[in-house]
Amino acid sequence: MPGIERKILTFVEKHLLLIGALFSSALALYLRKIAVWWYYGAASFYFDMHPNHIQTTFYDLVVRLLQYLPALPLHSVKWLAGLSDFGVAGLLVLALGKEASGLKRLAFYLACLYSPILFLRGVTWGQLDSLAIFLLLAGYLLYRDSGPGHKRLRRCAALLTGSCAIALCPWFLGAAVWYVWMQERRQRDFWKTVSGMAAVVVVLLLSCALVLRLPWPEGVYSFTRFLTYHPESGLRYQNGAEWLFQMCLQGGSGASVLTMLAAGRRKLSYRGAILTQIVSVVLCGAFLFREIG
Amino acid sequence: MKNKKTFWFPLALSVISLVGMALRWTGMSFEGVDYLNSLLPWYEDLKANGSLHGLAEYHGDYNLPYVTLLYFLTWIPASPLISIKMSSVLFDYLLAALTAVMVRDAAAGERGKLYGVIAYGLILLNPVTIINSGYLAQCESVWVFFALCAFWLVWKGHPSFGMLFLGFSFAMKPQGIFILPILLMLYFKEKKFSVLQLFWAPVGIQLTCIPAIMGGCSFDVFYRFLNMMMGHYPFVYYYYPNIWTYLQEAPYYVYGKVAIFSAFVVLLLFAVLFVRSRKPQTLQDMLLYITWTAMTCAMVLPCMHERYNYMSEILLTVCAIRRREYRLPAVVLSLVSVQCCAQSYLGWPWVSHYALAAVNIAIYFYLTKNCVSELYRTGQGGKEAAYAGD
Repeated sequence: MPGIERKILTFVEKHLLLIGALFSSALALYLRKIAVWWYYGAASFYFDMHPNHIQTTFYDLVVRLLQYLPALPLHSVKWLAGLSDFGVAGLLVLALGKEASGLKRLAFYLACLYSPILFLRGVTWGQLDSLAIFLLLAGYLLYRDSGPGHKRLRRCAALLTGSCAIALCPWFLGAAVWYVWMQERRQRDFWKTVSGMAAVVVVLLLSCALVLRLPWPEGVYSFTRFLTYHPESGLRYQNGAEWLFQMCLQGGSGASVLTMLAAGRRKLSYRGAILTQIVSVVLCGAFLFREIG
Repeated sequence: MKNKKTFWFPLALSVISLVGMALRWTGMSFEGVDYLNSLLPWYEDLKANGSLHGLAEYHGDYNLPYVTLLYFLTWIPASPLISIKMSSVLFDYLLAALTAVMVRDAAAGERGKLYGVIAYGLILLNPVTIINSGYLAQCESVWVFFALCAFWLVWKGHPSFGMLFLGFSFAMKPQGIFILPILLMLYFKEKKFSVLQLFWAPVGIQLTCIPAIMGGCSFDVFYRFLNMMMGHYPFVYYYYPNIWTYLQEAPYYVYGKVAIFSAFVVLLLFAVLFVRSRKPQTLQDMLLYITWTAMTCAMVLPCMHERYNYMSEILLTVCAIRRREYRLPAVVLSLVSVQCCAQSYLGWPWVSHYALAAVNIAIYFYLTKNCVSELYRTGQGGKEAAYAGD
């Protein structure tokens, strides 16, 4: 074997994981390029700001700003979600920690990138869950890895990004509060952090309401409407089953990624993570591909 | 005692060979649609022409080297049905013998001969092979034989000859390319031969085209033909029950590329696991990986016909000799293949293609889980050994 060939092979072998990740990312991007053209019949209800719509003012502002991009209206939202999937996959790999092997990181990167629930909720449906999960994970990493050097700065950054995630998708509030509760040893620090988060969320939502020229209380009301009103009809939930279904649907993608993270960090079994994925995909698929009257 | 001990081996082989021939003979008079619509007209045209020039006049969709074989069969004073089928049957026996040798080597020791005989029997008496050559007059054994020869020669340290046989396999049928992924993985992992030796493959292809070139075809006739056939059947689903069964209406001009790119990425990721695995791979493992890589191509690539998963269907039964967990999947996979062929050629409506596809996908995922988990575990190594549970 010629010497140069051996050198090339050694180089390739050294970077094999990266090569695998690159090609997989290219395929994932290509698949999203196809899926972005799929149209969900009731998609407009999520962006038309109809009375009692469940999107927060921050969500509405982000969607409004995306319309300035040179792309079809819904495609700009879908591509933001689609590209956020890559961000989520990358942050998930970082969140696994230094003890994770290269193969394990690649496996989790692929599991996230090809997660059916992220694919369905994001680039197929046009929901911005992935962006919120990205911000949540960023906040988690900043909070977790805040060493003695820049602790206060990193904690503030974590608070900011986490709050943005919650302002975008309020159903992630529970996960954020639960994590802070598990991390802060003193109740005083817990309440301090949660209050800080709440303040940032409120200020953000009120500011967005003003930018959108909406009455300022709309900023606050928009945060809680997802608990009461159906996302498409704008009517109150008729029964508990309908409410539960929608809550699982909205939180499904976040739950899938967070259980993946927990499994990667050995806090949860792989079966639990896979089960969460399956349930989320089934619910999402059942809703997305139902016949729309 | 010594005579008794050694007597069983040739006796077993003889009995299996005779039973195999008898079973094939039961289908000798069957004329399938491919034979009637394609093989017989081509044979008659070649015979009528009487010379190699007939190869230049050929306008079918089988590779020219195989049609060259048909031309030589016109010299035999026998009915075309018998001569075409018997040429495939010959390769059935060659394939069975090669597989027996490989399995005997994989087992080694006392039991090697026994496993070799079992492998010989499993190949020769497999309904998939019997139907393919004895009934349908197809030539899957031809390209699979050459493909496995290619692998065997590379494994034994003769890469140039191996690549030559890869060329023969690809020349006979394009499905011969299904062996290439495992050869490339061996190349990356072992680094025992040069990529330049891959150029023996085109040499092998050209060698098989010599009669056609002498008959008036251009020097690059094989590549022109291949180019012409690309996109000749623009369907993601073409009767093999794979993942595309559920997306039959998907437009080829979009999803054809998705299928090819996906197969490439899946094989690349497997290659990553294979190269990084610290476990020295045995011949037994390699046979399983050949089964898996060939099945990946059949399950993911577009325009797969029934019969294209032939190599996996017969090799899985061989892998099941020593690995009990593959026995049921091997049987089921063979039955799926038989049902597919029966649906296409005999019109059996018993099982829907969606159900067959579901079964195939389940088997594929089971194989994937087994292959990948072992490689993943052994690829962790070093300080990550503490996380072996991952």
